[in-house]
Amino acid sequence: MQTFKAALIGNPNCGKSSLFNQLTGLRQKVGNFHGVTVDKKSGLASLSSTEQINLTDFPGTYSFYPTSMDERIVVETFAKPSSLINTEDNGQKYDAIIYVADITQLEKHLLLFSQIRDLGLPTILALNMADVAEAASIGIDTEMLTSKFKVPVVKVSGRTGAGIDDLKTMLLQVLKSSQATISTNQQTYSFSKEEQAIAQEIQSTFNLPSQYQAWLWAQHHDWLPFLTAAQRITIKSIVTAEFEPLKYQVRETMQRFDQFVPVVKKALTKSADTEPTFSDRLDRLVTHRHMGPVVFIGLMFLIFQAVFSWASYPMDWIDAGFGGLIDLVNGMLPESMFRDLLTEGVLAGLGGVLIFIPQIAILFFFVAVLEQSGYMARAVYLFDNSMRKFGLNGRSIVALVSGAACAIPAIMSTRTISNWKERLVTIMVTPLISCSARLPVYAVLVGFVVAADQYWGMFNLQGLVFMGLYLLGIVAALGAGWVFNKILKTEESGYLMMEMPVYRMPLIRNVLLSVYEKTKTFVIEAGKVIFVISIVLWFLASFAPGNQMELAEVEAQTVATQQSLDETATNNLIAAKKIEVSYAGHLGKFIEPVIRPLGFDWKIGIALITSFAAREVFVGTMATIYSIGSDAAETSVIDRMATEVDAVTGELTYNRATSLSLLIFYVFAMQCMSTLAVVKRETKSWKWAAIQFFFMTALAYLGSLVVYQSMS
Amino acid sequence: MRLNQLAPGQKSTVLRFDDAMMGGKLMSMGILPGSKVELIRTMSAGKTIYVKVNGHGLALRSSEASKIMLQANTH
Repeated sequence: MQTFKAALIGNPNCGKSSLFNQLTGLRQKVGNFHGVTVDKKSGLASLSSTEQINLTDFPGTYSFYPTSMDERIVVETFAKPSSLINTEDNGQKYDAIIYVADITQLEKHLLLFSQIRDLGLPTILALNMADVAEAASIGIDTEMLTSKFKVPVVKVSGRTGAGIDDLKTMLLQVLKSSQATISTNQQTYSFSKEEQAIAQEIQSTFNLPSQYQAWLWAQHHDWLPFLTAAQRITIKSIVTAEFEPLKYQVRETMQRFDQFVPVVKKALTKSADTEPTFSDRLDRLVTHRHMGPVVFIGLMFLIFQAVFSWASYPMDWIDAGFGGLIDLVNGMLPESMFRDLLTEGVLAGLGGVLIFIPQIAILFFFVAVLEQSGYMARAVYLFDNSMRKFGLNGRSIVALVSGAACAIPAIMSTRTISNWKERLVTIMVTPLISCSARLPVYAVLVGFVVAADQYWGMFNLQGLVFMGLYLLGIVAALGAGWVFNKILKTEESGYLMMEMPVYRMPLIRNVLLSVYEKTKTFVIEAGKVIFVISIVLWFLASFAPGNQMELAEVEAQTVATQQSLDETATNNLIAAKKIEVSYAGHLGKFIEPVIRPLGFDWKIGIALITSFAAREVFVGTMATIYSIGSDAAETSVIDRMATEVDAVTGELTYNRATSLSLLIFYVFAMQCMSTLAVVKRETKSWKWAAIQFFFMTALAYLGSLVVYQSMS
Repeated sequence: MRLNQLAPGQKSTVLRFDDAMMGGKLMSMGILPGSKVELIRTMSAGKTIYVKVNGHGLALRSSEASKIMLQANTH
């Protein structure tokens, strides 16, 4: 099997992802582009029994003059000589490019195409949305385009799959006929004299395969990451002081449009209809200045309602499944340290990760539907200006909504925000949105604040407290954004400039793939950290300095004999005594003086520490500390907590003041190592992760302090 | 006349850009001198605007739209 390398390129909203999914099916994987964190999707597509292509899907890009991190990838990749010609140390070049353009927006989708073509790589122009065009009776003369642009042109539909076979056949022909070298003799852009001189000199100095590539070096030498310092200096000496990148960029863009727009106008036949479309009519409501936000809030309400009610069933199954698995392992293996590590460390840790999948997957399902239908662009339009007051961008709405599932994929979604400050503020405040890991903690504690049967008018008070906690997270995120906005200074201006695509019915295949990828990101990014910390915590809770463990066990046995406890009660008492003397217990007691003003004792201290793996570990830790066995049901944990008496004050530990204080702490605190790791990766420094950790923890401490001190 | 000064429902044609940087970005998205524009509606007291350029929807901040100079005759 011979494998060719090909790139899939096009503007945002050209339907590239659908086409990519059609070509590769499920044979795709997500990696990273070299040196940057932007997702690189690639997949194999077979062309014949002996040939296949390894296709890389590039982020949607308007031109070789990028505005966001996502957009830089295309120019960075194709400014590398090794993308155009095979080199010994950098491996295989791109054999072909499939450029995707939306027929219904052809006039504005060909700028990048004309730039790509000047690189000299074999290129195929795939005219997407053939089905939509046909329904709107838009005709296109592909032969005319082929002869004018001198590339093979094919009509396809990523939605229906029409034309995919033609595309593959064409691709095979192109690959077979032009394997040898790139052709640079038909550049469409004609340089001015000064531009020509610069491009020629850079090309010959660095021995680049194409003159237009040399031009990209001239335009982007300031930031192209693969250039060495020496190369940069050489380029600077060539481009001289009169080099006006913006002027040249405008000249190039105008000239390219002037070349292809007349061709497109000739090749297209449009029926002239001025009737408002379905999209226009829907937009009258959805983007209405007053009704728009109402529709948005209503949608969010429905979505969260669905997430909570649907997710509870699979979550119960996963919980029961892991409970059963732990029992099974306990029954099969003889009692040993290893068995305990396996069940209480490894399996409990795994269960702690997997339990969140239903909620996260269902919320990301809705996010994908909102994005792919075109609605998310409307939400961005509605809230851009309000968001800016808090240092955010309209696009931050995607991260904030996703943050209710898990902050990790949410933070990764900020790469479309071009302004560094707006993106950074979004990253910093997103973890304040209550994520799914906080829910189990809220569920346990809310009962100690208000009873389940208390009502305020027609509203259940517990429900209101729940909603209040979510709102508190949102308010904190906006407030923190407002503060960051005041502190951080930037010269770089932010942009909205966003297409409002026509509404389309999302394709179930694309939606499910997006859900799969984001959920996988959560499982891998959060999972590996939660997993490791679960094991570390197991060691901390299972070992003690010196022979304290043995002493604690003997002591517990004595008490149990005196009170003639049955076997279960004895074992639970031993577990409780053991965790008290363990390293975790020592840590809890060590931090007790600090958390006492918040109404917390050392037992809660242990839970706060273990929550660093994942917040919901709180519930399991409580079960162990209160000696009811770690596999006890949630209700028995609550029952036990309700009777717990504070050793210092002699009052009930979980009175209203402490419980509310603890809830507030969980709303604000940064208790997620996985998120910090992702923040470090996305901002390329530990600085921002550290700042985030300290400001959120400080907010949590102060919030709890105020609540507890004013209530007790 | 600038794009952010149009009233909802008003149409015009792009003449030139007031700012080369912004112009470069807008041109990449297919907004060129000669493009037909229509202001559809606005949000946040005109701070965010929804326009159609050659029939395709686009959201702009008013600071961005103010860099787009229009031909004098609107309709």
